[in-house]
Amino acid sequence: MSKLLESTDTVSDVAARFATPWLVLVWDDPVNLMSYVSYVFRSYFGFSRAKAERLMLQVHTEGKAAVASGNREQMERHVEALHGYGLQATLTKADA
Amino acid sequence: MSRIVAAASRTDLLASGGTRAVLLQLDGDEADALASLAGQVETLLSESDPASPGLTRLFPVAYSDDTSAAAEFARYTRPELQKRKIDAAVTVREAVEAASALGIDDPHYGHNIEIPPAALVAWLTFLTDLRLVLADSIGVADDGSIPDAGAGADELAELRELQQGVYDWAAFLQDSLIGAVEADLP
Repeated sequence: MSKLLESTDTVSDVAARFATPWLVLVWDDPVNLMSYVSYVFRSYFGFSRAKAERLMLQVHTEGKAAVASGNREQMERHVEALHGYGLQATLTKADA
Repeated sequence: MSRIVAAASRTDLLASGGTRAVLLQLDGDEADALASLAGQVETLLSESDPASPGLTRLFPVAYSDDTSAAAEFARYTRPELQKRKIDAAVTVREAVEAASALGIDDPHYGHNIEIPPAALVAWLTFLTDLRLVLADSIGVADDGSIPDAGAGADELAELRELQQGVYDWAAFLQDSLIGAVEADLP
């Protein structure tokens, strides 16, 4: 239980982590259909059709697109879910 | 994957009123092929280490610039990811087998497979995983192009041709399924 007492030591670390948001990147891949990538953006993230298609086209033409930002834990959950859908997703620090 | 049967043509999708389940209609050969393919993906995923080279598309690296974070992420997420992919293949195989067991119930369209909304992601996931597996085998390039299977009677060339047929057919099925449910999306 000592960890609870020590946790105040790490408050600044936690603050630093939250200060630098993380990004979820989806990378272009030659296998997944454009309609499927757009479907995943709409059904998983709840994006509008217009937003989903803009991001899908960005993935397709620019090779990648940032589709979400926030704290690391949340972004890891998104990446895990996107891997479940079969998309090539990675995490990166927003300032990297 | 040598037991892949080349699957042909006719699949119709109808949004069945109200419940928004999708009806997938396959002829006997297509149903046999799909059940077999789902069984093969199920076996492959059950018997393989997710870290093996042929499965990198199915189990991507989460941190492209941090190998230790990538390894840790993989350690925590891959068992569940692997299980979900296996479950998806099982869902498809069981649905197709159940429809096949009923026999041909429509002389024009063959087997009717009703895909309830709750199973849709499993179907789309399976079709994706199937294509991701085949992509490695047929050598899909980064730009999406597929190398010529090569000439003639050579066994490997024949296999490549079958695999490419399945790869395209799975894309057609997936695109059709998405088209059938698109109206329900945000």
